[in-house]
Amino acid sequence: MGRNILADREVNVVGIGLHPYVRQSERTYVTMGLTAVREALADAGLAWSEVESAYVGNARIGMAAGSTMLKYLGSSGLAVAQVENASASGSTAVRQAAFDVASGATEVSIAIGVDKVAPGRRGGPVMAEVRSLADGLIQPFSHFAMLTERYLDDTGATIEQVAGVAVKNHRNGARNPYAQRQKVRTLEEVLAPPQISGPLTRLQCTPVGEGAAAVIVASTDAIDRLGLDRSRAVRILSSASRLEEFTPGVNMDVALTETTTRQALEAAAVEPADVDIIECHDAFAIEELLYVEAMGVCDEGEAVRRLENGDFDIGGDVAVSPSGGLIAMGHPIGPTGVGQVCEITRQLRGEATGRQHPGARTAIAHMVGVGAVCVVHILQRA
Amino acid sequence: MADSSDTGTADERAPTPRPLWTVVDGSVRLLSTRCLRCGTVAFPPQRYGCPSCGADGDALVESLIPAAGTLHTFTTVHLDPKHETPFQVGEVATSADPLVRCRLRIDRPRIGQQLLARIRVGDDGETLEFVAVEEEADRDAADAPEIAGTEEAVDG
Repeated sequence: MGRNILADREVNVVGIGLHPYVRQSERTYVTMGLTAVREALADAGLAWSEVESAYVGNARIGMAAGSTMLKYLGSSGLAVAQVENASASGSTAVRQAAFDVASGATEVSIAIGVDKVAPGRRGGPVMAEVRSLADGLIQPFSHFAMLTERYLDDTGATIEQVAGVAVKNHRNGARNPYAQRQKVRTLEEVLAPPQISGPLTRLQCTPVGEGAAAVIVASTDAIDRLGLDRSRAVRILSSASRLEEFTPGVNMDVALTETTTRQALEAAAVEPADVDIIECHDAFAIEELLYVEAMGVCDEGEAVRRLENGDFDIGGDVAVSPSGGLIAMGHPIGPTGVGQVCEITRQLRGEATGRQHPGARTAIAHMVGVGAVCVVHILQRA
Repeated sequence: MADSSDTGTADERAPTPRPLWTVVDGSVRLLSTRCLRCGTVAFPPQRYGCPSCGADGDALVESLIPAAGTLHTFTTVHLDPKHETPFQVGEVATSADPLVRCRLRIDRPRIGQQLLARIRVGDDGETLEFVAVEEEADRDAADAPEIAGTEEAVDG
């Protein structure tokens, strides 16, 4: 593993912006993307002309979507690239923008995520034409329904306990004005039909909608030179990105999160016990339980008890998905990983009005995507 | 698909469509890919490369593995615009290693139970599904006329 270039030169989040995550709408992706970028520029107190490179994460809106949109911010000639990495597209855009600043290639860069509900195009897994016995039968919700059944069998937990994740995350989302779902839900509501697959009901699954998110990163030199507010800057300590390894007999989803998070934590010299906030890829309720264990935040088989104890609530030991996570804030694909960094920055600044986790200093942003890939960032208040 | 002006052999252009199972001496076998370099057995079969060590070409050989094993996990799917619901899918831990994702037809699925494959003949041809050994033993052969038993001659 190479060295952590984010330790060589400090990279700071200096501006965040979002377009709320919503169901399919009449708005164009350009309208949503520009809303997020302009909000991030205003948040940073920065002119667009200072931004030297942009990475635009999306998976559903096709070629040249990023460059087309960015022209409407005024002529600046910045470097632009579109980033696709399935559900981790936005997280990967953050990584690339951070690496531009860390390497010294730029002083100020932006990561943007923007997507529309659009008809799916044939992706890699289909185009590879490797046939299986269950072609087209196992959608992501069924993959995670199977992991749920296995978890219930392995641990003796009940579906009511797993659904507790969704109850918590809906409660958090109800306090987030950018969330697609902003309603408190009881356990009975979460478990009510429609049944999607196995024990998974609709409210244990993420709503896939649309929206946009933007994160501006800058060097410490740039903060001083441009007169930005240093006290609101949040550092990106490390970034890890991995493709799953072929490990028969092992739960590959768990193993991938475990290795990627460990790599990111070690690079940042942060212990799991030091983490105050986790924005986690909880597209399905079971994932939060599997991943907090895989991250080393709690012992194997302990997640259910810790959840019931309120340890993962805002105000608990470690707030998991204070934004509402993918289950409540939503999962517009491209924006999701960028939106996690927006939420974490807001929390670490102490500006998450109505849902602030007290004393938040260190955070994990975690996404996984089809492939499977995992991208983890560690962030810390200065 | 690829037109004749493409360079390269058909095999290089795209994987040749191939069956995923065959019947040998009355029992269903899954066609998998075995890597001669590291020994990994992978299902479904493909010629791109070994998912463990990356070996390709002659290092990859076709290998028949028993279409049987234990139920690793399962789900009943209720939402699917393209298929009639509900239906069952799952993962079967085969004795030869690969975790095989497949259709199931089990009355009372239980993780760890013994499964075997059955060929089901439907309107859209033959499909393979896994059933519970214990339920099969109880089943009266007469009430499952659509299911061609593995003991019956199905030419592979």
